Order: sequence, then C-alpha cells, then structure tokens
Amino acid sequence: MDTQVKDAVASPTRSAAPSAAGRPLPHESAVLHVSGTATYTDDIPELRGTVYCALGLSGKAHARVLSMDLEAVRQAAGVVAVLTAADIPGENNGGPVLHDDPLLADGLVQYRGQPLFAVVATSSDLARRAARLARVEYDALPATRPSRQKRRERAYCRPCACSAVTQRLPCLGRRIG
Amino acid sequence: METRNIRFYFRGSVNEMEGHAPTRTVLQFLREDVHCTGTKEGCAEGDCGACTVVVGELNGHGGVDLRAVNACIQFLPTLDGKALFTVEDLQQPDGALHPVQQALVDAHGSQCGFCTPGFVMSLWAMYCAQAPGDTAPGREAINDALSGNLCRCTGYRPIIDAARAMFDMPRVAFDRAALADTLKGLARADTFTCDAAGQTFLAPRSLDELARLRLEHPDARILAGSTDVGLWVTKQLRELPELLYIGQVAELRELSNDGGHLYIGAAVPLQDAYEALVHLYPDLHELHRRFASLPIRNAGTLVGNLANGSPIGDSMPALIALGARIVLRRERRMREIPLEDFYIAYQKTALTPGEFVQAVRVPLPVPAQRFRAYKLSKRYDQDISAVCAAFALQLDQGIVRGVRMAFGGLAATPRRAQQAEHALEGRPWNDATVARAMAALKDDFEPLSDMRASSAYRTTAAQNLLYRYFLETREDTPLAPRQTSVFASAGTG
Repeated sequence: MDTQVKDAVASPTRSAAPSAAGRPLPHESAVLHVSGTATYTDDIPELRGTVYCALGLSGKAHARVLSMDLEAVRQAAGVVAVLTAADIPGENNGGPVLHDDPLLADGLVQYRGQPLFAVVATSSDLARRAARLARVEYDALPATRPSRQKRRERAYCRPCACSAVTQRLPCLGRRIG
Repeated sequence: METRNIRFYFRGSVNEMEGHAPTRTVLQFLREDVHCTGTKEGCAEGDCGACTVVVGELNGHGGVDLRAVNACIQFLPTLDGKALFTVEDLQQPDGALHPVQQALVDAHGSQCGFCTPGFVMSLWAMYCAQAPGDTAPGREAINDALSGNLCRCTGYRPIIDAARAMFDMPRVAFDRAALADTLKGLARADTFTCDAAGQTFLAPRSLDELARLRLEHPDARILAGSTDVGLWVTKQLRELPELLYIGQVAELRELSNDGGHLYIGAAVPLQDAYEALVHLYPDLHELHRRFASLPIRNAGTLVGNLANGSPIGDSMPALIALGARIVLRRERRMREIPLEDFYIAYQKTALTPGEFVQAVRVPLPVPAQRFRAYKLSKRYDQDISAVCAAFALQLDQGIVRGVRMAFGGLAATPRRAQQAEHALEGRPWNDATVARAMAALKDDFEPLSDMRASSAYRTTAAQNLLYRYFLETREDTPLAPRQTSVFASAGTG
C-alpha cells in the first residue's frame, strides 16, 4: 500500500473511523457472482403471458428494400404480432449523438444484419423460426471494403463529434483483424 | 420399445423427466424449465463457456468421471444415467462458499460476473480432479482447464490467481464413491427410448443393438458428443426427428493397445483419445492442447471429428500422416480403409447406407519415424485452423522412405499432398529436395480465401510448414521446437 495513503489511514484527520481507501475490498456482488445468484435481466422470473421477440435481419450490406413479404411470418406457429417501421409510433431513430440509427430499416439497409422487422411469438424458438420465413427483395447498392488508400485518407470516417478531441487525438483509421 | 423417462442425478436426488423434446438442450432445461438461472447463455454454440456445467458419469473402472462440458449444446436425454452439477451446487449446506468460490471472491476474479459461474464450474472440475497429495496444477494446466471460458472484464489474471489459491484453503472433498453407487443404480440393461414432441431418442447399450437400429432407422442422426450437432439445432434451427445416441454403447468406449495399433472406439471422448495418442506420440502435445477447448474435448469424440469430415477438422491431418485406418460397420460386417480414403468430396464420406464408423486404429510409433503436426490459427485456443499440417517419414541412410504429409484447410477435404510426397520419396532429406517438394505443394492444392486466411497465405504457410518440419528433423543440427515455435517455450509457471 502507498505510504502516503497508509499514513492517511493510520492518522485520519476527522473521526476514528478507518478509511476504505487503500484496502482491498471484494466486489459488492462477488458472492452473488460466484454462487450464481446474481440476477441478470434474463434471470428475472417471467410474468405469465410473456411473449418473445426475434428480429428479421438484412442479408445485404447496402441496398434499397424493394419489397418485404411477411405473410409467412405472420402465419407461422405461435406468432402473435409482426412489427415494421410503419408500426413505430414515435420517431424511428435511436441514435444518441449523430441521430442516424433507425430502429427498424425503412426502405434502405446500410449494414448486413440491420433489423428489418420484429416478430413476436409465444416462445423464443418459434419467434426465431418465424423470422426466417420472410421474403425480402433488395436492389443492391455499392458496398465496398475501404481500400488501403481510402483508409489512409480516412475517407470513410465521419468527423469526430467533439472538435477538441479531433485536434488532440486524430482518428488512426486502424485496421482490425 | 416403450418410451421411458430421462433419469439423472440433480440437486441431491434422482430426477425423472418426461415430455421434453430430445433436442432440448441442458441449458434450456436449466434456465427455462427449472428456473436454475445460475448457468448463463453467452453464445449458445460451445465457445464462451458461460454455460459450463459438470457432468458425472460412470467410467470403465467402476468410478465416476467429472467433466466440464458446455450445457448449451448438450441434448437433455444424453444425461440419462448421469449426474448434473451446476454453480448452485457448490455452496456448503451451512452457506459457506466452496474454496473455488471463496478464492474467486478474494482474488477479485469477477467484475460484471456474467462469465463467473462458467469459470466456477471449470475450476471445480479441476479441483475435484486433484487427489489429496497431488502437486497443485501449474500455470499451463490452469490455462488448459480454463481454455473453454472467456472473460471480457478481468483480463484473466485474477482468475488464475484464484485457481492457485483455491488449493491452499482447507480441502472440501467430493464423495465420488456415493455418486458412483447412485449412478450404478441408474444403469440400464437395454436400449433407452425417449419419444416426445414428435422426436425420438434412442440410446442402445450394445454394438449389435446399435448396428440393428442403424438399419431400422436409416435417417436417424448418429449422436455422440453433439459438439457440432448441437449447433445444427441451436444455430441452424434444423429439425432432427430421430437421434441415435452412441454414448452408452460399451464396446464403443474401448480405448486399447493391441501391440500393433491404438484402437479408439467411436464413443471415446477427444480428451481421452488425445491423452492416449500423446502418450505414444509426444509431438501431438501442442495439437492436443490447442484442439478446441477442454469442455469440447470432454464431450466431443475423436471419431466424431473424423466422421464429421470437415475440411478443417484438426484430427485428420495428423492421423492420416500416421497411417490411421477407419473401421466401418454395417450390421455384423466390418471393413477397414485408410483414413484418407474415407473422404470423397466436401461433406461426403465413404459410408454406405446403414453403415457407421465404429472406431479408428492408429499404428504404434515406428522407432525411426519422424513425425510432426502443426496448427496455424490466430488464437492459441478455440480457433479454427487456417492451415493444419502433419508430416511423417523415415530415413534410411539419409534417404526418405514412406513419407506421408496431410493438410487441413487447403481443400474440400483433409488430404495428402501427392505431388509433394512424390518429390520427397526416395530422395535425400536435404534443402534441395525440400525446396522441390515445397514447389510441388503448389500443384497439390488451390486453397480458398476466406475470413481466416487468403489463398496465398495458405499456400505459403503450407510450404513453410514443410520447411519447418525439415529444420526440426534434418540430420545435421536439427532445430529444437523452442527455436521454431513461439509456443514451445511456454512455461509451466
């Protein structure tokens, strides 16, 4: 333990209560973790009547959605509801900073795996199976991996939102994988 | 055959289960059916280890084996006759934590805690495997025990500290004898059949019965460790209406040495098979350590890896190079073919209708043989090979005899390199010969490019692995593994 901290603990300036600083303390949930009794979201007992959602995801990286036939999804075993962008009552956008993140794609997909629709069913397994029955027609748009030159130019990077950060720490355009 | 209930030891007593679809996983059973949510789902495909549980099973010597396995890809009926232990089982009746748990708390071995139950069970399996008086496992053994558990938060060091410290605490014994008695009481004399939700699960007890059922149910999926088949259900959402489980067939658990060959039955787990193979061929040590992860090796079988026939299956190159032969059975007829002849095309083997793989036979080491096996992948553990290579030859006064080299990851099936072998056979084992063989490798394979490696990388790497083999086995100043591999100098800590 650091000497200065040790001294502070040994001779507190106020009351006689020892300081917690500098002493090892177990994680406040450590015992729950190791005994499997910590409650995570999916551990919470479900209310009777809980239904389960699966997402239908885009198979294309960049495309216009020409048509989306969800009839087979609606008819599938256990399905309670099918939701698309049209069903979102508020604004179909969840982006916290750049405000460019639709919850469900609406005519345009911009990454492979982007949610197109949500299907709700009486079990997780049935929801996942139903989601695969959708028939989606795409008009593919250009989707290329940035070349080394483009990566150097940072041509694919959106400017950092915080200009102070941009000045001190330029984006390194690092290659992963 | 009438349908029976699945019986297994769980939470201190024998449980009988009925009505569960045979492809319901142990994890789904735990979390959804009996609301035991200590065991977590992280990936549902046997990689992250958040679902690690320990299964107790009678072994061939009247005792019990306790093995860590991934619950997410084990089908519930495979627990029949076994014991299931989860994280909730470890605390003492008075509420005191087990040393495994206490050590993790003391060493700050958890942050978000989601991976922790999985680590607890892998550590508990290691703890129970220690007999009193054994030296505590070193760093390498701890790493291997935890090879199937991923943590994003702690950086692993505090968990490894806990793995050491847990042996310093007063020992908590596990009553193996009592469990063995209980499991003996669950043993069945004849085929266990379980029908539910339109699916059938069949678990014969004898090879003859398995052979008979194979003919009677030609479309049934043969099931052993389910480390691949589990994903057909959890990820591909495939329907498997009939499962023919070989795990309880006594003859298929045979692992024996007949003086000429090592005989490995179809139900022998990878961990046991590789321990026996490494004993004979120490050069298989690294491949063994890096093969999937311990929980996968505890459940999956060597023959399952061979029969699955994946182009990137890591057992095949080594066994092909060693001249292994695969034993096929149909009804009462057995036949044996060289392992390399078993693979015809992508996902197509030489099995005829009604046939199944009974065993593999691996020749015992020949004194003058030089053998190496190499795996190339980005991670040490739990990674699919970009290239897997194995080489074997003998030298007769400096001349190459009986060379066999086999590769995975370069073609639609694991395969020998005929042109490269031809360039070596009968020639002196020297730089010039090896250079010609390396060039010939380009004629043997046209590998794909994929996310793991490009075609050019695979070809170059395969050639250089041949060169590494030469450097390690040449007669003049051969290099030690320490000089050719970054992993070879891993300490035992």
